[in-house]
Amino acid sequence: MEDILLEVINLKKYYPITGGVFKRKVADVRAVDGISIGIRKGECFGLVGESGCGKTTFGKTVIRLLDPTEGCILFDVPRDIREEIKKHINSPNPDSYKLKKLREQYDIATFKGKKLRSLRRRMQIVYQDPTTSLNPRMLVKDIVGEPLKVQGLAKGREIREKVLEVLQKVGLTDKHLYRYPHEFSGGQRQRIAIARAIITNPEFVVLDEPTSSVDVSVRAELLKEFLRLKKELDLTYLFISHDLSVVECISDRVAVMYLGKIVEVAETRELFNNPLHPYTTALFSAIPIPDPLAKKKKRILLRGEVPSPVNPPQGCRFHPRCPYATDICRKLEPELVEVKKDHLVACHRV
Amino acid sequence: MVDKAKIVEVDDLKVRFYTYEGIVKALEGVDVFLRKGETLGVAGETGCGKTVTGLSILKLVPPPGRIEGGRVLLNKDGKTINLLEKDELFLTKIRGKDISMVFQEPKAALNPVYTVEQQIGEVLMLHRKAEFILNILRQIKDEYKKTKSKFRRFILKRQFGLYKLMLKNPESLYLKIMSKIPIVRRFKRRLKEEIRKEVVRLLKEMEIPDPERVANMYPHELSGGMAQRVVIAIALACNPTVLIADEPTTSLDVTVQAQVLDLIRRLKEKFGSSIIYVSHDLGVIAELCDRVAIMYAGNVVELADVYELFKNPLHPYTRGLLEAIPRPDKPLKSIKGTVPNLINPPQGCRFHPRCPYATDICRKFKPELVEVKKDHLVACHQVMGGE
Repeated sequence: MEDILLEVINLKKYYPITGGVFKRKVADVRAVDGISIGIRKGECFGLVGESGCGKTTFGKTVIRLLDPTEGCILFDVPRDIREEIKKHINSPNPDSYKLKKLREQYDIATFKGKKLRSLRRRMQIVYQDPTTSLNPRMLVKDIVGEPLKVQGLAKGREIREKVLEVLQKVGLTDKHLYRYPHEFSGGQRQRIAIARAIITNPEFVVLDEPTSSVDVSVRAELLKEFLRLKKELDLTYLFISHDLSVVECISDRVAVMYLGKIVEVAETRELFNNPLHPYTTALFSAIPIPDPLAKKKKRILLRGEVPSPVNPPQGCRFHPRCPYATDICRKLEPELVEVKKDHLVACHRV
Repeated sequence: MVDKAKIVEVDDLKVRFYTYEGIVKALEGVDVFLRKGETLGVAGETGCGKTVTGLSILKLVPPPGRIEGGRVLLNKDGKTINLLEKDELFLTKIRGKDISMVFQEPKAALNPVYTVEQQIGEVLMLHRKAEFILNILRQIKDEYKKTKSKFRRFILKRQFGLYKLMLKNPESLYLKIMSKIPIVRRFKRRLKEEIRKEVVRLLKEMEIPDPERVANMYPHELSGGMAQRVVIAIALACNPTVLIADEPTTSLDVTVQAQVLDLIRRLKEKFGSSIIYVSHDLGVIAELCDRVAIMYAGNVVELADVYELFKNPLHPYTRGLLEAIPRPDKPLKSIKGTVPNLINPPQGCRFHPRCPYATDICRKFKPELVEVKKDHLVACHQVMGGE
């Protein structure tokens, strides 16, 4: 078994909905509702799903840009300690003192202040739309150098040198240093965002739909860039996207999300050739194929729309739209079970 | 194929945008035609002029844009009309009736302060009022025969007169006064009911569940897919002969996109409309269209049958686009460089700075769109040179 860099245990993130005169909590939007996965060192882990299923929330929660409501996030923790924490969580007494101590020491979800800031250096994020994620009033050298200043990793001239080095890594030159973001094209802007993310030498980078705002020809270039940087800098990616063909191309393993839950995880090849969950099957069959001869392919059309995460359906969350739903699906929520090696599915039917 | 079968023909269209930074030459001589009953896909990157082409067919180019030259020919009832020469009044009759458009962002295309019924009703009132009034006149006649009550007959007679007047002279002062007087203005209810019936029928055709309820909703209550269906319903309300769909599925999810595409395909079969489908997603185009026009920097560079285009792309840009689609079994390739600035476009062929086969002739002369094979048009010097 390969080494796991990031392990998430039963992660939950609820957004409260307030209402009434006193702004009391009325209900929760269950954006992420109990996810447990492990991301291996050096892999590109793809996360796909429709809009509003909680992909981005998951990505942000994992690196503590959002505070999780519940659950553990273990980043770069030795295996035996992970096992111990898991054992404690599954034990009949989950509030034990020992677990509390262990979590304080290793669980990112409990980190605060200095400890958290030093961790930020090791995990970075690239956002969806570079036009909004780059400050329009800052020069490129300041944008890219800011993480160094905040982390206190470099000072004065050193910053400039490092910035230049990183810019060259992503295919920009020194003449771009003193420009503003609006002077760049979409692809170049995304490169600046990538440079900002990798300047602190992170180990883990969350890519939150990094290619959705650029054109086809630029997209291919960016994807190549990601793969190259991963190899050069020994990175681990969490690649969030709704574009399945991109994920298929870049990821080693893929997880499919539906309404705040993961319904299927497998290696990319395995998942795309042999999807087991009915939602995954429908999702894949909806990808338009750029080949007119493939027109006759039978397509599974899903009825209706994604239910609201405020009030998810009882039992299996997919059952109102599932063509194979039975009584058990309506009552019991399926667990994520390993059916084959490295292929996990949450479905009663399989 | 005979020229008569061409239902819309765009000929040497030039559109410029006069901005502060300079004149953006958005379209530089676009030639495209649409045959009856076919779906034409228009593909290309952002800013290549796909949307502007769609808009200028309806003469809807927003300022500071201006249509500087060219013709847009519409074949209507056997006659050929140049839409660009016509005035707004004439175009109002064409827009929505003969040619209609589905816009990119369904939420932005709908007016947030009107209900779905009101928005679909607006198109119906504009183009199909006469049809409804004739319907109502028939209804009133039937009712008149059935009732015995003298009072009721008197009212029906008045209503009949008013509707007849509405048919003959909708601007009449008498009608305006009558529709302001309380109780008397109730006669308008019949028209409203008629429109509501039609709206519900249209929504049902768009496969919207519970159309009666949706008709009363405001756009913010609808989901993305639902809103796009409403926009399509507005576009198809008058059975247009040509439908221009401007990236109708770009803002939707894959599963919803599949639903909408399925709907468009079925509606096309049912109504026999011709569709111009603008999209940057070649996958969608391959699935839906019969012919494809590839655009680059304000020009059509290749125009061919889908099968032909995907099997045998001739223009280097088309090839690049097809290779840039991520596929698991092939290595990724990208087109070098970026789309040129259209304020100051490159001389000669606009693709030459990025083209791997560019020669001197490409740098100097702009290639014309030439038919290389039957129904396969390419604008490239290299292809013509017998590559």
